[in-house]
Amino acid sequence: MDFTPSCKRRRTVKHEKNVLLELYPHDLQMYKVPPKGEIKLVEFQDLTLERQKVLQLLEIALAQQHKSLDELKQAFRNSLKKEGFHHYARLITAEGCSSHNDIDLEARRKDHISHFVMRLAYCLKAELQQKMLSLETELFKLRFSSLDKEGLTQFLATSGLHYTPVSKEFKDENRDKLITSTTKDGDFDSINFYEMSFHEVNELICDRRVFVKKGIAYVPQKDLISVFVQHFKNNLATELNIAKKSLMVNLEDDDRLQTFLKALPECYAGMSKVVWQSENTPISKLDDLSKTSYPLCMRVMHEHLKSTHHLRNTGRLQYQLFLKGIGVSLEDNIEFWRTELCKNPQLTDDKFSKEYLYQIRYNYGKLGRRVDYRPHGCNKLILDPVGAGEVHGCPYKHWDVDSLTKKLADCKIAPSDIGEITRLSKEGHYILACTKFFESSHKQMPGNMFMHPNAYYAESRKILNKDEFKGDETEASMLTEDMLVPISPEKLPPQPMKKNHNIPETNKSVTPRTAEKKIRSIDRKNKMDPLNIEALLNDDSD
Amino acid sequence: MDESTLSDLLPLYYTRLFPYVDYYRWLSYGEVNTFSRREFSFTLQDDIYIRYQSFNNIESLKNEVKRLCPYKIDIGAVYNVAPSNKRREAKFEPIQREFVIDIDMTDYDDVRTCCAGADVCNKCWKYMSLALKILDAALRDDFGFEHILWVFSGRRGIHCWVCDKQARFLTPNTRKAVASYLQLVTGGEFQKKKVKIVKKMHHSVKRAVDIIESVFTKMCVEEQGMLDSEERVTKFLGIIGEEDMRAEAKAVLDKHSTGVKKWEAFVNFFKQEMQSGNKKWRRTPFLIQEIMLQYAYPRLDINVSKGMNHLLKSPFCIHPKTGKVCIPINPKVVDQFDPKSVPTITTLIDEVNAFDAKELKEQGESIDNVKRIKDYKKTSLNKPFHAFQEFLRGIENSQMGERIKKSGELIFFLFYDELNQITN
Repeated sequence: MDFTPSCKRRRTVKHEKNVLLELYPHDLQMYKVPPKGEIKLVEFQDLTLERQKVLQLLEIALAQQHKSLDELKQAFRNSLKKEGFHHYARLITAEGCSSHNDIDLEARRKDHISHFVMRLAYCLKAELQQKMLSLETELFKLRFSSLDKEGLTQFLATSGLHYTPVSKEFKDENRDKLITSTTKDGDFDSINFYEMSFHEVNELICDRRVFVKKGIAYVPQKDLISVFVQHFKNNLATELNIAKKSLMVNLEDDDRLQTFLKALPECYAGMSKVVWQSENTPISKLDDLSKTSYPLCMRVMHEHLKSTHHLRNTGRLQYQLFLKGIGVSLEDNIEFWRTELCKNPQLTDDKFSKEYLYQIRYNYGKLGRRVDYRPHGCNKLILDPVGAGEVHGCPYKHWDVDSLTKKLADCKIAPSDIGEITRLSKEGHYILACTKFFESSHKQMPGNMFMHPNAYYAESRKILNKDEFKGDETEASMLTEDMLVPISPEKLPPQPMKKNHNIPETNKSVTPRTAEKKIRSIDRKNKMDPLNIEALLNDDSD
Repeated sequence: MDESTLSDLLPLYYTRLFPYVDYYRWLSYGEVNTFSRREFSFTLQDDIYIRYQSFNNIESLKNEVKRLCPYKIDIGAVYNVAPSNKRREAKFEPIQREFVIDIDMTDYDDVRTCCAGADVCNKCWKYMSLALKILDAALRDDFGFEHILWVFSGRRGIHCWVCDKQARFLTPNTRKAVASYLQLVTGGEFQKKKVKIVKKMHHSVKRAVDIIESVFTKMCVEEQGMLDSEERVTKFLGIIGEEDMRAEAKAVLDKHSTGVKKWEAFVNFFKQEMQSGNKKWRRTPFLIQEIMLQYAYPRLDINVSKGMNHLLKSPFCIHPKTGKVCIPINPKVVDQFDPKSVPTITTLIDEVNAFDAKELKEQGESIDNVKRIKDYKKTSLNKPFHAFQEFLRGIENSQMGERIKKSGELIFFLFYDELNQITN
């Protein structure tokens, strides 16, 4: 979708400056009050498409896993500028209330309106809600961190959240614990600590970055950001559900808006989606495929299963769903696991039926909640905990350098590439490490960037099938659930990219209208019941 | 325990010994509605599994349990509607749930050497008592929880039920946060170093290290023989990041023959290197603590704690394989708890019979008298039941406190109202 902002040309309504200033006194807001007044349909659509593209760029920036917030901010800002989203580039680094010129006010207005329209478009499905929630929260986090002192004070004053700093006596009494339990920043005596219930700072609790005593968390000034982020997130989550309810009632018969809102999320889909193979993959080929087309995470599990005839619960879940995604039928999947697991002398056929069969049939939606589960994406693999004795998860994240180096050598990766991959994985660029692994083993770059093991597999098949048959009928066998994003050129070697110039073309062909048709047909096919939505929530993101 | 004995004895256990009244006192938290919307699930003979059972009162629970004689009872969340009516409601979601922790010995298989899999002995049980102490302290001191019930899971693990009102109403996100707060040992098969302390040691980690330190040498180095074989030494060295440091450490260890000596030598060597300002070793200033944590810090099944609708085996169940009762553990005397001496269903029934026979003999024909004594008092369940009742009194007192506070406000309000009327 090629979209260039053109609102200036189209807009005819002039906004009085002082009215705008009254409405938008600050660069950042919690979006508590919906926009009022009239807006032209065209501008309404333009603003929203623009924000969607902005969030899309943010998603890409996040996938590159920058080391620090500042680096991320810089990269994101550059990409915004490159695409011509100058208002947003400005907002990302806006200090709060240091300037109020026309451009600032216009940026704030755009931000406000488009956020609320996005809510309408993204509230309908749980999956979309989750996506908007996580991206908007990241956006908020970036912008909050840019506020200067005055901006922060003003924001605190308008946000309705009030905290009081703890006394000097308390600080002195708990000096050591406060220092060791919070990340160091500046001079202890001059930092204020604010007390609040531990519920309000999940993120800090999660990473053990705050001093908690008897249920009270003592949050240093600079960590207040996570209080606001959590507040923002909770608020948005509630509002999205409210929007969903009211949308069903209020927009029932406005066709123009309905069509637009429904089609919007389809215009740019994420790269973390599943790519399903429509062709049946026979299990006899899995050994070969695991060497040629599996991403390392799945290859490891396959090999572990083959050699030990055992895989612990989460590993089984991840691998079974991956197999489902690459086109292994339910019967074959059962057969595959039965054969492998029963090679373990302690496991009888009967025990297999009792303990393992259920899980496989469950994953295919044949039993229990009857949800057609989807293969897990990279985010989930990276974030899910891995315990002692378990082999699942993302190797670039969960393995130490020694084990990874050894494994890569076993996979016959060139020594120079091994160094590159381990370096990327050490720096936290797991996806890039995986892409490098792909490049090294296929001798070329993937056509599209992926954030899903099944997308990795699809890319690999695309290349290898072409080599095998020299034809492109294989393209048709790929049921790509979405359009994939071309790799952002900054971080990767430039030469192989030339081949892929035709890729964005396919993206263009999907207009909101066709996307909308797609949505409708999907809706008809699988109606979502409440349980289904619940399951999707646990699926990819978060 | 063989299955036919179990199915013979279970009816007796559920009629004469299962503590229905206290069970109800616990799960109702003073409100009938809380109990009636609670999910129970039963596992019957031949792995027949029924979910979403709920009961309006203690009698119907009692009757159903007696009728089905489940091999296992699981407790789920409290829902917005009674789970047995869930089909009639469009919206069905959990609204309250104890914060629960599940610790299973199999997660220690890479560090315990005395047993493997389902087996457990007094040596490896120490992992469990250590886990209990560390987590109990964190839950009480850091999060301020008071009503914590620890339960033996019947074979090789322990469960924890945090029952404070605040804990029962935690949001899923906060549960996740608390669970990761408590989870320190992470990483799978291919991550040799599983605990990393960067720059500073959080106060909760420090407390855990203090608890572990006092028993570490005896428990891990001596009894588990952490450094007693070539293979184990290699595993140990794997924790140390870099090749040349590993070689230095190996040289130190090789000088000594026993595990304890090796460990002491390593600790001293590390201290020296730190003091002399060796840059390599100073990059991991908390190495000793990290090692101790990796070998002894509690390993929890984090998914159980994160969700609201995860089922957890109920206390007072009989473990179908061992026949042992899932009895509460008193955290104050956890060191005295011995999984081997936990009463089994067979010993309990024998104890009741022996008691009755003795009484009959002494008192002649007056059977009435025998019947008046509660059956559990005749058995070794007496003590664990008392521990449970003490836990219940704690909860009830705090509920009472809350109610008094509420009614106190009410009285004040009425009084204030009256005053207003007079002055007007």
